[in-house]
Amino acid sequence: MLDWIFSESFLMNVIAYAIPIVFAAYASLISNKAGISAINIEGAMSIAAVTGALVSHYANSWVIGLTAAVIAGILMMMLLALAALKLRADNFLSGIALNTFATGACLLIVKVVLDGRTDSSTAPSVKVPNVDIPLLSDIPVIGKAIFGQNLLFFIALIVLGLLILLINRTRLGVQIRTAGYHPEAGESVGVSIRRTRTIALIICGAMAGLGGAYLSMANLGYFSAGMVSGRGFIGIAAEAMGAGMPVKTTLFALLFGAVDYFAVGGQTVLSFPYELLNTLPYLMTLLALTIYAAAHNKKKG
Amino acid sequence: MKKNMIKSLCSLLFRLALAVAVAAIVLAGACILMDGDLQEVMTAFFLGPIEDEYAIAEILREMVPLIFTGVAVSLMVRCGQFNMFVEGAFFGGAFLAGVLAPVLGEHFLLTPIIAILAAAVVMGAVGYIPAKMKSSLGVNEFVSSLMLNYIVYWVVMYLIHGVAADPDYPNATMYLEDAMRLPLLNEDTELSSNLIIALLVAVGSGLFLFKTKWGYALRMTGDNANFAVYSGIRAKRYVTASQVIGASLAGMGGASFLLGNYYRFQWASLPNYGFDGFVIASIAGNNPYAVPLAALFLGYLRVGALQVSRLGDIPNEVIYVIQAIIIILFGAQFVLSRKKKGGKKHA
Repeated sequence: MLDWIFSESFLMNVIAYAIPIVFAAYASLISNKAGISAINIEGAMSIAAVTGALVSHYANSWVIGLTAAVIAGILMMMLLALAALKLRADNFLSGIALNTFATGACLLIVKVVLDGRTDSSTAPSVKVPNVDIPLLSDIPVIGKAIFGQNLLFFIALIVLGLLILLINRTRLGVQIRTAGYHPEAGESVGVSIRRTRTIALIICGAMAGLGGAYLSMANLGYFSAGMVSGRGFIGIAAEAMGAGMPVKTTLFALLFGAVDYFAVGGQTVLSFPYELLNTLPYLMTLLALTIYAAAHNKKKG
Repeated sequence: MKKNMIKSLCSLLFRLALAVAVAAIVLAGACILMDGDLQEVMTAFFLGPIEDEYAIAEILREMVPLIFTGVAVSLMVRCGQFNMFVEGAFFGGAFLAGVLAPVLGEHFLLTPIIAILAAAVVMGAVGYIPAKMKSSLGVNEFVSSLMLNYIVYWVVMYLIHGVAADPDYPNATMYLEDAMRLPLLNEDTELSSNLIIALLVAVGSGLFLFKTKWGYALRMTGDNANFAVYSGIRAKRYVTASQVIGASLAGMGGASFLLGNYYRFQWASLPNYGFDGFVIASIAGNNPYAVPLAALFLGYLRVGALQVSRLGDIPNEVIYVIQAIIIILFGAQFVLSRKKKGGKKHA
């Protein structure tokens, strides 16, 4: 087992499993910063996954597929904006509704396009390529895992940098934080809260789109129903643990990715029932949330 | 008072009509997309559910899980809790009943009732985890209860692939003899008496919520927790209690549904009834008395969609899309009844 954990492929896979969770966590981060919770990140990811897979197949291009997935993610978040900001339905309930919508719409789309199938394995996606940075990827143990990853890993790194800049160094960032911390104060100095939250949701949707696309266009070469399986929600949990700080959020997402891979990879290495291994990521999230809340309460006094 | 009631009734009818219109529009859209026969589809959707007694029994069958989860969600939302464990509790309750009933043996009525109560107790106990985490530590119940759903799901999968399985029938619990199940109301259409339990639960929860001091305290906590605390209500206790009761009712629902309509537990995935509970609760305005009517409405739409999918052109999943739109449609009113402030009044 130790051989397995310290092998080159372990770290490689941990990062690979963490990427969708990282994107989901960023999506949650930016929407929460603006004071709106987007629990339909899960649903947006699956809509993006199915869109990316099918569009990349038929357009025969991963660039077009990835773009379509991002647009699909944004559209799903615009539906949330429509329901929660414009129609003033409950934020939470709209999210639940849109997750239900996504469950059905994904299956409908695949069934309609591929004549009643529930996955797109007969129409494989054009995958987002892996990047292999020469020299650096030859470093033992960490080389391949970091410098030979999928392109979306590097996009995630760039996004992390941009997020930090956006939140801390730009006018929009200040407006987003105002919309989250003190919307009344924002309105009183002429910041449109609805507009700011809508912009945050656009960014959120793009993140969810990238995360969904990673699942069906990089991790696996096709879409299958239920493939997101709670990663959007785990991303939301990672963000809650990271307390809205981008770097900390990323680290927690990586940790959840590690547990996720441990559960999957462990099935062949460990003599332990796979069903119980599968509870690990969720058990871990539950435990982490409790410890975090307990520590937080203690600090507050 | 009376004027208010008439007004809210009109608003409800308007929304129901709107929901039916939305369903028809979505179906028509799907129909055009898939080259179906529009008239045939509409007939199947609107008249299919009442074409014979089997279709009507199907509506009543659909209603049972919807009533249980709808009531469970209503109680929790009334207390301001968005707990998703209804889903896992329904699943876990059904599994427990499937395992327990054969162990208890063939005792008419006694076996199913004990199994159902046991499922309620166990699922209530599991539901205590996210409830206590929320009330004592302030952990977001939405995320924690979702995680708990997946944990319950995989533990059940583990048990059903191993110790709890029928050795002669892989991935299912032991066969349920007639005496281990709830009696049928009608032999021909196989309508089960679990509908009666569901209706009793709805009425009982309504009485609890509106006629007892605990129900009053629960609603007060949901309306304004700070105010509740100032008026001497131990709000934290009700935050926990509402979620435990919700989980327990959902567990009961799963057990009643299994012992009424199945011969074995062999579900391979979460059945989504927990999320349906939110659709029902939002249509019913979180009022347990209105839940059976909301379930009848959604049951009708579902059997309609099922009839449409039998024509072969439009997949059954179209109902999810319709449901999502219905929740949002009823959502605006939902906010008003929960917070009683802000927001433009629609309809």
